[in-house]
Amino acid sequence: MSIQSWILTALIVMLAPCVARGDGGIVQLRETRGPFSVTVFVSPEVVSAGLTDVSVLVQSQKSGDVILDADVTLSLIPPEGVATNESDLFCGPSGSGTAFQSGNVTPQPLSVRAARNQASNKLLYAALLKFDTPGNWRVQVTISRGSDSARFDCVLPVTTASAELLALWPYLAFPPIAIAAFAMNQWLRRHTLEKRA
Amino acid sequence: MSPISRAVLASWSFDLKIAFCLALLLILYLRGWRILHRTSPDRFPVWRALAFSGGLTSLWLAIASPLDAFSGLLLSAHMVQHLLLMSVAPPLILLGAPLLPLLRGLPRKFARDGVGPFLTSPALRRVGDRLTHPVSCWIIMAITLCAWHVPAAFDLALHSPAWHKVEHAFFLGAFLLFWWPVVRPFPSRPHWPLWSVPVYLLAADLLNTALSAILTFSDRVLYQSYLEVPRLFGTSALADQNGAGVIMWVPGSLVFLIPAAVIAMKYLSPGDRLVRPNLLTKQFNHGLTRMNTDKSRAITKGFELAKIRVHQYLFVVLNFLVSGLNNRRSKVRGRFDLLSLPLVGPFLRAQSGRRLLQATMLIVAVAIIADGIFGPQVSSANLAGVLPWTFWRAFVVVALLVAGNFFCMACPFTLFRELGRRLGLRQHAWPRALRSKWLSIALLALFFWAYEVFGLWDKPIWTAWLIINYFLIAFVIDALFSGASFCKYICPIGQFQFVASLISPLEVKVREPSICARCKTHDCLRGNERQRGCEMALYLPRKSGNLDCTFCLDCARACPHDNVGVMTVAPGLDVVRDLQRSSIGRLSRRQDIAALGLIFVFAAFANAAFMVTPISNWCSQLAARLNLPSILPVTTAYFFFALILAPIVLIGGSLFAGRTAAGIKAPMRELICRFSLALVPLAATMWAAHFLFHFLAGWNSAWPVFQRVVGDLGLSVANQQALPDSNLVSITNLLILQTVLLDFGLLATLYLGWRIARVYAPGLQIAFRLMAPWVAMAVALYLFGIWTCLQPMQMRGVSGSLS
Repeated sequence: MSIQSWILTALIVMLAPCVARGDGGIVQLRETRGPFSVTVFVSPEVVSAGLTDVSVLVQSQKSGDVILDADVTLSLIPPEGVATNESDLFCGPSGSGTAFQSGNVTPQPLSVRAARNQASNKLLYAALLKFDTPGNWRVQVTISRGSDSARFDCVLPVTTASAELLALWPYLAFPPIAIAAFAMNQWLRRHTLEKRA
Repeated sequence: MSPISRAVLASWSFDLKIAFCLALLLILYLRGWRILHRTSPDRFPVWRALAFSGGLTSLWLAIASPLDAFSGLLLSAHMVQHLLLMSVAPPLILLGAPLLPLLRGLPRKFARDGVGPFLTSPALRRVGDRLTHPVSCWIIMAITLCAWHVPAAFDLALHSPAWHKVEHAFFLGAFLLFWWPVVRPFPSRPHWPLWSVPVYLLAADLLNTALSAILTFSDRVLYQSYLEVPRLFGTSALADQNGAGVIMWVPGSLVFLIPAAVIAMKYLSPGDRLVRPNLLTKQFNHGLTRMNTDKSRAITKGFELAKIRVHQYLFVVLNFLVSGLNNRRSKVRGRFDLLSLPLVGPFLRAQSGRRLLQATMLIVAVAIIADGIFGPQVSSANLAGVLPWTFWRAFVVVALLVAGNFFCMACPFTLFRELGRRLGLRQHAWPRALRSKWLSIALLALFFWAYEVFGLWDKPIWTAWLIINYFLIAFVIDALFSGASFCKYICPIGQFQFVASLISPLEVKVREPSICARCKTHDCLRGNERQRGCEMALYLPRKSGNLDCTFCLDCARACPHDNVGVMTVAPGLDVVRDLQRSSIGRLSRRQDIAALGLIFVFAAFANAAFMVTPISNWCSQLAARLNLPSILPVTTAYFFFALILAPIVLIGGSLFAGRTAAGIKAPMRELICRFSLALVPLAATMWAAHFLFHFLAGWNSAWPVFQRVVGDLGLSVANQQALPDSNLVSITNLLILQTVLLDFGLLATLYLGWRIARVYAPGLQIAFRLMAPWVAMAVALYLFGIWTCLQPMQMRGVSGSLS
C-alpha cells in the first residue's frame, strides 16, 4: 500500500466517527417515577453564554434495561423575571434550537427534544443548550413511550462566567509558549555560535 | 445484533484537536519513515511503521471509542481504557523508533534551525538523559499510577472532563517514559544492561498486582462516582470494580511479564550478548559509512573523534539527520511541484483547463446575476445572497491559505478581455500616472465601505449589478488598454488576492534557474507564436513571491524548456527578502503596495468588528445621540478611522518609536513599507476566521436556495429533503478554530517582523527595541480579533431568525 493510502486510511479511521456532540457530565437527577428510571447528566459547570450538554438515560423501572425508543423532551423554565425567545442558531439539536434572552415578562418554558444522535454515548438522549442568563433554571424532563409517560423535575443552577474564554485558554496560551520557545531557540543558537567562536 | 449492542458500538466520540494532532503525528512519522526506509531499510523496516501506527490507533481507541463514552459509567471500561493508554500505546509508539522519523518528517529548515538547537543543548541533553534513566522512569510511573488511583484523584477526574484529560496525559507521558528503557527506541543509549530489564518489569508488575488486588478483593466501592451513576447491564458497582481489578491484574500483568520473559530468554540464549552502551552507535556508524557518501564518512569520522560518550546518541541523531538531508537534497527529490502531478498538472497547464474553470465560474456568475435580478429579494433565499457572501469568500480565503491564488486562475471577468480585443479597437498603454496600486486601493476601500453602508450582503439585486459592472469595467479596460491593465491596476478583488497570496504555500516559479540563465528568447515574458507571455509583465527568473501573479500559467505554457512549475515555498518569507522584483521593484520602495497591505490588514479587523453587536450598537447609539437621520455618517467615519487614520497612526507611531529606541538610521518610509507587509499573515487569518464563521454557520442555506431555483425553472430535485439544520461545527469548536488561526497568524507575523528587524539591527537587543512597539501593535490587533470572535455576530445570508 502506498504512503498516501496509509495516510488516507488512518485519516478515515480517525475522522469517521464524527457525529457525536455531547453527553455525560455529572449526575443532576436520578429518580424513578412510573415505569421509568431516569438519570439526568449535566456538564460539570453550567454557565451563561456557554453551551451546556444535558443528557438523559432512561431505564425500565422494573428490569433496569436501557430504553432506546422513548421520546425525551426537555422543558426549560428560566429564573423569575426572565423572558424566553428563540434566537440563536447554534443551540439545540436539529431544528429545535432554543436560547433565551433577558426581558421582563413572565417566565415561559421552551421545549427541546433530546436525541440519541446528539450524544457520544448512544444509550443517552442529549441536547446542547445555551442559557444566557444566570440563575436557577428549572428543567422538566418528559419521557413518553407508547402509552406510558412521566415527568421529572430538577433545578439547574447557572452561573455567570466567561465560559468561552475558559474554553479557549489553552489556545490563547499557545502564542506566548511558542514565543518563549523561539526566544530560547535564539538564545541557544547564539550561545552555540559564541562557544564556537 | 441487539439495539443496545448497536448503540454501545456506535458510541464513538470525536475530538477535532486530538484527531488533528494524531493525524499530524502520523503524517510526519510516515513522511520521515519513508525517507529513512529508503536509505536504511534494515534500521527502519515496515514493522516499525506498523508499530507506530498501531500505537496511535490504540491511543485513538482509548480516547474516542465507546470505552471513553462508558468510562464514567463502568469502571471496567475505564480500566481497559487506561490499559490501552499505559501498556499498549506507549510501547507500540516507542517500537516505531519515532525520534528520527519525526525529525525527518519535519520541514528541513525547521528541523535544523528550530529543533536542532534544543537537541544539541548540553543542559537539555542532561535533562533528557536523567529523565530516561531507568530509576527516574520507574519512579515517575509508580507515583503516577498510585496517585491517580487514590479515590479522591480518581473521582476528581470522573467529575471533571478537564481533569480526566490531565489524568490521561499523565498516564501516557509516564508510561512512555516507563517503556523507554525497555524498548530502547533507536538511537537511544541504554543506561543499564539488558539483564536489568526483566527485573525492572517485574518490579512494575509487583506494584500493578498490589493495586489490582485492592480493587479485586475490596468489599466496598472505592470510587464514589460509580455509586452515583445508574447501573448498566445488570452489574452492581462492586462487581464492576472487582471486574476492573481482574482486568488490571491479568492483562495488566501479562503486559509486563511477556516482555520480561522474552528479554530474559533473549539474554540467556547463547547467540545474543549484552548490549553495551556504545555498541549501538558503533553499529550505526558502520551503517552510515556504508552509505558511501563522502559527507557521511567525514561526519562519521568526526563523530568517532568526538569521544563524548555520554551524549553519543544525540550526535547520532544529528549525524543521521544531516547526512540524510544531504542525501535527500542530491538524490531523492526536489520540492513539490503541482504541475508535476498526474492529471492535475496537465489539466492546469492546458489552456482548455483554465477555460473550463473560467466557464464554470462564468455560469455561476450568470446564475447569480439572474437570480439576483429576478429572484426573491431575500438574501438567504437568493443565490446572490448565499453564493458570493457565504461560500465564495470562504473558499477563496481557504484556497489562499492552503494553496494559492486559484480564484484569479478561474476568474470569469478576464474571459471578456479576449472579446474586447477581438473588437479590433486600438489598444493603448495604460497611463503612466496610473501605473501603481493607488487606484485599486481606493476602489478596495470604497468596496469595504459600501459593503457595510449599503448592506450588499442583504441586497441580491445590488450584488447582481455589482457583478455586471465588474464585467463591464473589465471589458472596457481590457478592450482599450494593452496587457492585463484591469488585473494589475484596477481589480480590487485581484489586489486582495495578491496581498493574501503573499503567505500562500504555492508559487509559480522557475524549476531550474540555470536553464533560464541560458535562455535567450524569454518566452515566459514575451510569448511566442503559439502562446502569449505574462500579461502582468512578470519575468519569471526575476519574479519573487505571488504579488501580481494571477496563476494564469501563460508563462508555463510559453516556456519552451518546460521550466516553470507551481512549487511550494515557505509561506510569507518572501516579504523578508527585499529583492529587485520583475515589474514590481523593491518592496521597500513601493509605498502603494505597503498601503494596499495596510488596507488589507486593517479592513480585516474593521470589517469583522462592524458586524458584532457591541460595535454595531455603539454606532447606532452614536448616530441617535448626534441626532443624525441615518447611521451612514457614523459608518463612514468608522471606516475612515479604521482604514486610513488607524494605519497611519499605529504603524507610523510604532515604527517611529522603535526606530528612535533602537537608534536606527533607516528611512521611516522604508521601515513602514517593510513592516506593513509583515502584518499580512495576521490579517489573512482574521479574514479566514471571519469568512469561515459565515460559511460554517450558513453552509446549509445553499441547498434550499438551489431547490428553489430549480423549482423556479420548472424542474424538480429528486431528493427534496432539506439538509440537517445544524452547524458543521459547534460554536466552541468554531471559536477554537478561529483562535488557532489567529494564533498562527500572530506567530507568523511576529516571525516575519523579527526577520525584517534583524536586517536593520544585527544585535538582538537593538532588533528587539526596533520591533517592540510594532509587536505591541500586532498583539493588540490579535487581541482585538479574539475579542471580535467572542462577540455575538450577525448571521448574514442564512435562513432562520437572525440577530
